[in-house]
Amino acid sequence: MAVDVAGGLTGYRATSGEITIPLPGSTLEHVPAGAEPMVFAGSGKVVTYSIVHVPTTRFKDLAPYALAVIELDEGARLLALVDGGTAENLAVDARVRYTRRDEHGYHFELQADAT
Amino acid sequence: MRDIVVVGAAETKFGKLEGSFREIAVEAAEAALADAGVDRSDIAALYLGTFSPGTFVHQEHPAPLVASMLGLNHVPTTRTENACASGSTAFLQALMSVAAGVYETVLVVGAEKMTATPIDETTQILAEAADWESETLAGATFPSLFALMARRHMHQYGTNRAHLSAVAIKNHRNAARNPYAQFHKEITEADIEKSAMIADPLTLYDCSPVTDGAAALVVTTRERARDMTGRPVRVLGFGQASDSLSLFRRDDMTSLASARKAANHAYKMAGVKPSDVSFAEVHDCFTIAEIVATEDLGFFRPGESGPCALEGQTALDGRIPVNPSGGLKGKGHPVGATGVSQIVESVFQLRGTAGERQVRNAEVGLTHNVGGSGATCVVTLLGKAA
Repeated sequence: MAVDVAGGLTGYRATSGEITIPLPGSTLEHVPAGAEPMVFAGSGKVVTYSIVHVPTTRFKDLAPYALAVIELDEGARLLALVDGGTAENLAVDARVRYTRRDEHGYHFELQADAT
Repeated sequence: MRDIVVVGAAETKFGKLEGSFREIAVEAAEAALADAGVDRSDIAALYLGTFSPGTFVHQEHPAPLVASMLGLNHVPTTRTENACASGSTAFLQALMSVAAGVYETVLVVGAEKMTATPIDETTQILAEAADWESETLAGATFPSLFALMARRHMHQYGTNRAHLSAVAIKNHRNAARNPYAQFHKEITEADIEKSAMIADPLTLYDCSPVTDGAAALVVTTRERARDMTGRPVRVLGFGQASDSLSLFRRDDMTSLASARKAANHAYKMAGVKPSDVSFAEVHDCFTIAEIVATEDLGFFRPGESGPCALEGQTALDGRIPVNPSGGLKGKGHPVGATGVSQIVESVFQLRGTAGERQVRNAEVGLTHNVGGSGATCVVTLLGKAA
C-alpha cells in the first residue's frame, strides 16, 4: 500500500491500533499489511513541552527551540517543533496548528485564536 | 531458584579518567576478583555491559577483549546493550546463568569511556538510544525527553523547581562522602539557579554528567561462596520490563510502566514490600527521574515524591535513603557501568563498609536502572547474607 504524502500531515493506523506519522519525506511504500492510511487536519494541543538549549549536532543552528508532544485532534501523538514557542508563551493544553515539514521534522505554531 | 550471591564487588573512581576503555574495565574486574577471593580459573563466563564503545572509543566486540586481558582464556563472553541499563542487564544475564545451573561462578563487568568525545557528539550518541526516526530526528535529546516528563509532572502534580533542586542538593551531598564519586563538592539552590539551562525546565545541575568508569561483580552460589573470602550479599529478587521506545507513545509521561512492572516482579520474587527496603540506588540521570522512580517503586504516592525529597525523607538519615552513593547525578554516569555500580554500592552498604555514607541498619537494598527514557528498566533486590 502507498499513501500520497504530498503536502499534508499523513500517516497510518496499524491493525494493532498504533498510529504512525512517518519521517517527513517518507514515501510510505512499506506500511504494515492491513494498515489504514490517515490524513490529519493538522490541529491539536500541547501535551508537554521543553525549550531545548543544548541540541544534537543536527539541530545546532536552531537552538533554542521549542519541542513538544502534540496530540492531534484525531488522537494521534507526535513529537514536533513549535516555531515561535518559548518558556513564556507555551503551556500544557495550548492549541497548535501544523505548518510545514522539512529536514527538522514537523513544524507547528501556536494558534492565536484559541487556547 | 538456587541461592545466588554477589561475593565480589569493586569499581574504579568515576570521572574523567586517564585509562582507556579496556584499562578501566580490567581495573574494576581485577579488583572484584580480588574482593571475592576467587581463583580466576573458577570464572566460567564473562558478561560485559556497555552502551556504545564502538562510537565512543571505536571498539566493538569488547567482551572477549576484556576476558583475554584478564587471562580468562576461552570462557564464553557476552556483551549486553540496553542503553543506560546495559550494566544491570549484564547482571541479570549472569544471575540467570548461575540460577539455571549452567555456570557456578561468573564475572560481570560494566564499563564506558565517554569523556574522550566532544560534548555535542556525546549528546548525539546518547540521543541514538531514543527512537531515532520519531524522536531524535524531531529534535529530541535525552535532557529534553526528561524535561518533557518534568513539565508534565509539574502540570499534573505541582512538582516545582525546589523539589528538583532538593534531589540535586541531596545527591551531591552524598557524593561528597563517596571516594569513588565524580563530584565531591556540595551545591546550593543558588548554584542551581545560576546554572545554564539545558532543556527547560532542566538546568545543568539537574543533569547527570558525562563520565568514564567501570564496575565489576563476582556472582556465584551461596554454597560455592563458602570457598571464597569475599563477604556474600544475597540476591533476593529481580525484574526487567520494557515499554515503547518513544516517550510520546506512552499514555502516562509522569511514570514509567517498565519500572512499575520490573519492581512488582522483583518485590514478588523477593517476598518484600517497598516498606521493607532499607535504601535504594535509583536511576537519577536527571533530577525528575529520581522523583518519578521513587513513586514508581512504591516509596511515595504519585505527586508526593518532590515534597518528600524537600522534607529530607530521602536523605541518608531519612525514612528511605535514596542514592546514598550520590547517584548518577553526583557519583557520575558512565552509561554501561551505572547498573553494575548500583549493585556494587548496594554490596558495600549491606556489608556495612560504605564509610561516611553508610545507611544505618541496612538490611535490604534496591537498585533501579533505566534504559532510554524508560523503554527498559531493571530492578534488583539484595539482602544481607544470614
